[in-house]
Amino acid sequence: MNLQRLTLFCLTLALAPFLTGCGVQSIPKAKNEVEAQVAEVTNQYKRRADLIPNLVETVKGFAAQEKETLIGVTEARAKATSTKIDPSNLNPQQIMEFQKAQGALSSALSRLMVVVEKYPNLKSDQNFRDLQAQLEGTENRITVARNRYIESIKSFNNLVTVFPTSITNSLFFHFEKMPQWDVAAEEKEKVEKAPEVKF
Amino acid sequence: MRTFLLLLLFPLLVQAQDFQVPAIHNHVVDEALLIDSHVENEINTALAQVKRDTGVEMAVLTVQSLEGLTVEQASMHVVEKWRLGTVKGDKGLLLLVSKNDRKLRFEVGYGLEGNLTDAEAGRIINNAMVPLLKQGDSNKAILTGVVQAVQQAIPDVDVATYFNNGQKIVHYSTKKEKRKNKFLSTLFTLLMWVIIYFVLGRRGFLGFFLGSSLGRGYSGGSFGSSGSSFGGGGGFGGGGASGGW
Repeated sequence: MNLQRLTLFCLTLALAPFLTGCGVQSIPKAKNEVEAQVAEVTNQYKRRADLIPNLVETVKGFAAQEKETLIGVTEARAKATSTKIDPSNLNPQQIMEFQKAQGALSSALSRLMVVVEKYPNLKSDQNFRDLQAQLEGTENRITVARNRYIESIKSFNNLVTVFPTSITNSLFFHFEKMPQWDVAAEEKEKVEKAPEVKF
Repeated sequence: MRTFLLLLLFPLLVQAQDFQVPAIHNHVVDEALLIDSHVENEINTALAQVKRDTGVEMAVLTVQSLEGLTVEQASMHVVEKWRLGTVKGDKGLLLLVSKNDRKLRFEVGYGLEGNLTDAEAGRIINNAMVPLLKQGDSNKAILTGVVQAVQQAIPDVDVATYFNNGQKIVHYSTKKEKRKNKFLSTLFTLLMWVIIYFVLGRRGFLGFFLGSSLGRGYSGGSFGSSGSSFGGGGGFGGGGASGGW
């Protein structure tokens, strides 16, 4: 009897490695990964939004007459922070809204950065330069987080749709393919309202 | 026929122009020959001691060209391959300098983002390094950048002591602890093997299979860093700053 139990134990242990290939573990893991990545993306966007009040204040100190651009940034920020996505319930509509709001903020910010070029005193101010470095760093973090998010959706979708893990999914999990993050939508928002350069 | 051959070769040609991340053999990898050997030695010695004492793993890479990538993309490629820092601490730090693009960047690991912020990294680049690079003094620029970045990353330690004559003042207790851990984990692994051998070793095929598959799981870890190996799986999220001269 004791020997039997030991054999059973050994068999379970021996079969465990083969279970990993069918998706029972990897599909939920991939889903968790996507949720973690979307949280990271929103986290970095929030970081950007947190920087903006300081930036606006600093620019105001040197270029108060650029009221229109500054208001544009503040309004776009307000809109972007009120648009949220729920990581556990991703749908294309929600992602589209979020991207649109963030894209509008990106374009407002790039307009501000063009305006700033006219003020050499502002550009050489250490406080402003620090903020600029922080903003650049955050934009870069957003790009990195977004790339990783896109990768994680890709591997989740592969697990859900490609044989043999697709069978496990249809048997146990019934997950659907996730909507892919479409950077183009965000960029379009940015391009449509590209900053004007006047000489 | 010739065009056909050319077409066959074309992917190879394209491949050759990609940005290739060189292997890391020391803290300084000077592909673009921007650093004199005595400065390189000084940085290597100092960074090895910094790594041993504080766990901060910094590397310097100079390249001829970024091959069309942005400096942010290139440095991400580098840290994803080199994996500076450890999985737990994420205290990796990279300085990438591209000679032909005249661009440079600090890539800061998750664990150091609090100390070496983007703003601080930007200050080091713009205020200390870029003026020196504009004068053509790449030795001094890189040495200054490394010293200042490490100082920001470990504010409690006077970094100058590492760089002047290699003598350090501050001792960290982590070293001893690590050695103890290493001993314990080695003992544990050994014990596991003995158990596997005695319990399952005589069970013929099944036992053999189990023994080898479990064994693979345990043999993967090289416990503690011996100093000559680089990259412990540190994470990077795109923090840092870039500049140009």
